[in-house]
Amino acid sequence: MAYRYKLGNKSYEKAETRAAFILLFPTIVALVFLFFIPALRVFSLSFTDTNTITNVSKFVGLANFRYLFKSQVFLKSMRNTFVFTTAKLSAEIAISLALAVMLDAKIPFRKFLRITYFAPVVVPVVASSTIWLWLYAPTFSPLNQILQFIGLQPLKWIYSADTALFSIILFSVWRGIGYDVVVFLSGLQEIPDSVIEAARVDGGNGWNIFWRVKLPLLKPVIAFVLIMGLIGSFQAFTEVDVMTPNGGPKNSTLLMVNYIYQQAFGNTKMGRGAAASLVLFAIIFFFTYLQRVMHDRMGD
Amino acid sequence: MVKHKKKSLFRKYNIPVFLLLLLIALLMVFPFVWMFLSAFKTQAEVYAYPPQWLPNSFHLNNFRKVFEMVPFGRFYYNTIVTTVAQTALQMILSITAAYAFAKLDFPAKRALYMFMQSAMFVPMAVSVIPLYLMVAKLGLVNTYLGLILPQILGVFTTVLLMSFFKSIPDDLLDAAKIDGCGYYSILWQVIIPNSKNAISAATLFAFLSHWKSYLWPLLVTNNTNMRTLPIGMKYLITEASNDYHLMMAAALMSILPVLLVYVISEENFVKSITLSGVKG
Amino acid sequence: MKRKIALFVATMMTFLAVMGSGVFAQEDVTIEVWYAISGSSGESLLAIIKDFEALNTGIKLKYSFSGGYSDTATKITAALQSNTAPDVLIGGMPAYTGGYGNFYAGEMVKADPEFDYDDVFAGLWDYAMYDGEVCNIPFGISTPLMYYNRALLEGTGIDLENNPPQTWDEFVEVCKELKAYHAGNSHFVPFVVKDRPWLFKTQLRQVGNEVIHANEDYSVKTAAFGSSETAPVAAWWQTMAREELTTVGDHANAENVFLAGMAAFFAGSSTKISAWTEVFGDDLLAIPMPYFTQPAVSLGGNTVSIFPSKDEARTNAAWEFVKFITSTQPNAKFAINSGYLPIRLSALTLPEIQEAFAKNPAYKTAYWQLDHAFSYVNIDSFSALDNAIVNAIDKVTENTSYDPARAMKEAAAEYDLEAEGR
Repeated sequence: MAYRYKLGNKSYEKAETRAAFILLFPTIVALVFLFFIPALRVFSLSFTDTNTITNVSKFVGLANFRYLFKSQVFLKSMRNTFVFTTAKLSAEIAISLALAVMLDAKIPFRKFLRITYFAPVVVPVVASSTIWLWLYAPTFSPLNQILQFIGLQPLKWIYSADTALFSIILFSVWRGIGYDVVVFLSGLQEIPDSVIEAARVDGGNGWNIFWRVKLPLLKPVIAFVLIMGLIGSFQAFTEVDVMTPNGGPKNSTLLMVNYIYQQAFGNTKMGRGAAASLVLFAIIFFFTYLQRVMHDRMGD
Repeated sequence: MVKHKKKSLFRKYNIPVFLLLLLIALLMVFPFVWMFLSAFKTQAEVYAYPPQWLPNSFHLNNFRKVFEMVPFGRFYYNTIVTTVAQTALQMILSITAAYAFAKLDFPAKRALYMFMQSAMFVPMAVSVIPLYLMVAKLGLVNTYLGLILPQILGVFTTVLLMSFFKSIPDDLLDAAKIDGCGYYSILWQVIIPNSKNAISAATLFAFLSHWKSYLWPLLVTNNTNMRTLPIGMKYLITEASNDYHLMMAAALMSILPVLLVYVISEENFVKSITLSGVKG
Repeated sequence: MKRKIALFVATMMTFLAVMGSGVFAQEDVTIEVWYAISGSSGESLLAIIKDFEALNTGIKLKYSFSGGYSDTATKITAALQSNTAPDVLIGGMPAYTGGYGNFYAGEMVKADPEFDYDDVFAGLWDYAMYDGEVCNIPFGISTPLMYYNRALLEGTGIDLENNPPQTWDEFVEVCKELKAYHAGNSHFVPFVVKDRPWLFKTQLRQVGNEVIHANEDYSVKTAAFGSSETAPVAAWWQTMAREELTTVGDHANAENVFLAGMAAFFAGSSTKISAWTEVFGDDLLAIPMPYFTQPAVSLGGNTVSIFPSKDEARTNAAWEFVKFITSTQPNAKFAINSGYLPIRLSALTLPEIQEAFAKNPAYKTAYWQLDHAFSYVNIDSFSALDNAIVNAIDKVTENTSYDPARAMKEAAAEYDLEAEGR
């Protein structure tokens, strides 16, 4: 019944192959047009000095890359992106894990609490950044009023090079924890009761049951949150574009995508923007790969 | 609901934990409260120092002004049309591809999979110009198709569904094959019915990301009637530069319906995310 | 079945052919207009667009707001490369036209006798040039204005209306007096500015600097502000910071500070006049921009671009429309309501302009600044220039012992590196 054929040293079923390619056809077409061709174009642009407005272009070899790694602004945007990603992800994961564990306890109004944590996730970033833009206004901000009320110094938030990136991170954490809380909570609830009971019988208290039993079992969930967060944070753009349009005071909030955008559209250096895109691509690729290798090592 | 907490049933609730959670919940909703209050203020109240928390009166002038400035209903309509279409198409692509990758064997599978995965690392800002040129050549600038088509590729949803489809036992598929099912009817009759939750999780994920989509619609829409909500918001911010009260009225209007839908369907939301999380 | 399809295809082809040949496009011409002018200024623009429509010229307009300058830049860039540009863009830059070798508007302003070229303030044409040739028409023009909040002067004995500070040194003295008077208010700051590069470029010209130097054929454009003559400008910013007469670092918040009544002076676009009267009422006034050795202000705002299409009727219609909005009366009407400045000398004879001057003395101040307005050579790397200037200001204000001349030299080198080639 099944017609098989050989390719290399493996044999396949003809009907299965055909079905697979028919099913994959739309995705392959989309990949070619929405990813492969644009990516090729970015690749070729990165070796030119293409002017975004006039489209005048000539081949310049590796000049764009040499420029980038000499440019203080680009290096700063890279550093900012690392700081942003690391700080955001660690804060977000720590807080949401703690919240999930607490929500897993016996508490009233669980649904209400879940809704409040999750609400920022469903709101368009443009809208929520607009709200925070005003929360961060040093003079009129209720945030500063509250800080002063509890006896702290008012901050300049997004208007000072010292606090701008922190403010962006704070916003992103606020916007992100809801999703992670729900994911972690589900992970916690998947843990079989018998495992917890067994640990309890062995004399574990809540604290070390969490560290010894729950956390190791949550590893795949954490890995999932981490990898998604990594890809998302490296590509963050909108919040910075709305809150600190020019990369903030002294480029303190300039992230890599914002740098790319600024070079390509503000500075008409499309070639340079394309080169920076390739660097970003390489970084994301590297980290995703690294994470995968570590994940495989640790075992599922 | 949480069976392994049987012991703690004796003390009714864990009140200290609850209070802590409540405090954090208040911090989480605070920006929304501030938005709500500011949406009713006048410009003078917004610029009052020290900050004035409550507006002097709850009037609708700001909302009226926003409606005069931009066609908010139209933005809503556009966002819904494009988001629904994008989500539907993305799900069709994701389900078929995930099935092929998870359950079928064919040449170059690994290479194709890697190829697809690398698409996930390319930020929109990067591919936006080549994409635009392509869309323009097809004459699709400022059309719904132009808005929708470039955003239907969902690598993440495909990978997500794949991991679910893989967990469906092969025995089930084999049984269907013996019953005379072809590869397509297996997808239709076995895979999809067995992963409804996973599919709704992925759908939700796709929907949320399209709902917020910003950069592409910014580029590809040329007039007010085609704009989506996030773009309309951004333009309003530009237009209303110091009119913070108007921005907040607009933000309130853009947020409220989504929040309401969310509150009503919270259970499903959580259930679907629950499913998406566990399998990494 | 096949015949049906063939028939359908044939019908479609004929239909398309007829459409293409323009049989249906005889009567009215529709042109697409994008504008990057927002808020109340956008409303004033719409008002004169409506006036144009009321003339029933047979030209139909499809107009839409294309976002702020940076969003518009992104969109027009993409549109130009794919031939989807509108017929007219209000609020553009010379690079969008001149950069593509499109000098259509520049040729028309000289060729069409109905367009009075010499009636436009002379300095404005520089603002609409690409590599030495006019390619756009000045439209939403503004100058940086030194606003003050009269309420904060009450009781100080300082009379800015009759005795304004003329030079930046005198301005520093006034700021010191104000600071002393408001010593009890910890939030008070004498002077704030949001758009620092704009003010800085104004000051560069005031010491005789050309900001950007272009060679004869405009193939090489380099920073001119590295020379030692610019040191006094950076030194002035340093003084302002050292004496704590202005904020250091949080310039993006300057408008909020001024609106909250915490700053006496604010340097910014004349377009704020219309937007801010609701908050300040009569208290929003302005002094002529102080100067170093010679009065000068750097032009800001935008120009009108025309993108000729293959369809000549459309191109002609676009020109007619642009001619209308840049003629004395409509242009003045737009200007008065928006706070932009009339581009024409003849606007002065209009009673509505006189009325606007009487009502808003700040507006009159802004208009007369056009007399010594200048524009530096157009460049592509706007943000590189602004970043270099901002970095220089940051250096001298955050470290008040930093050598101003050195900061300027470094800024020039930074710009040249960023903009290497073109």
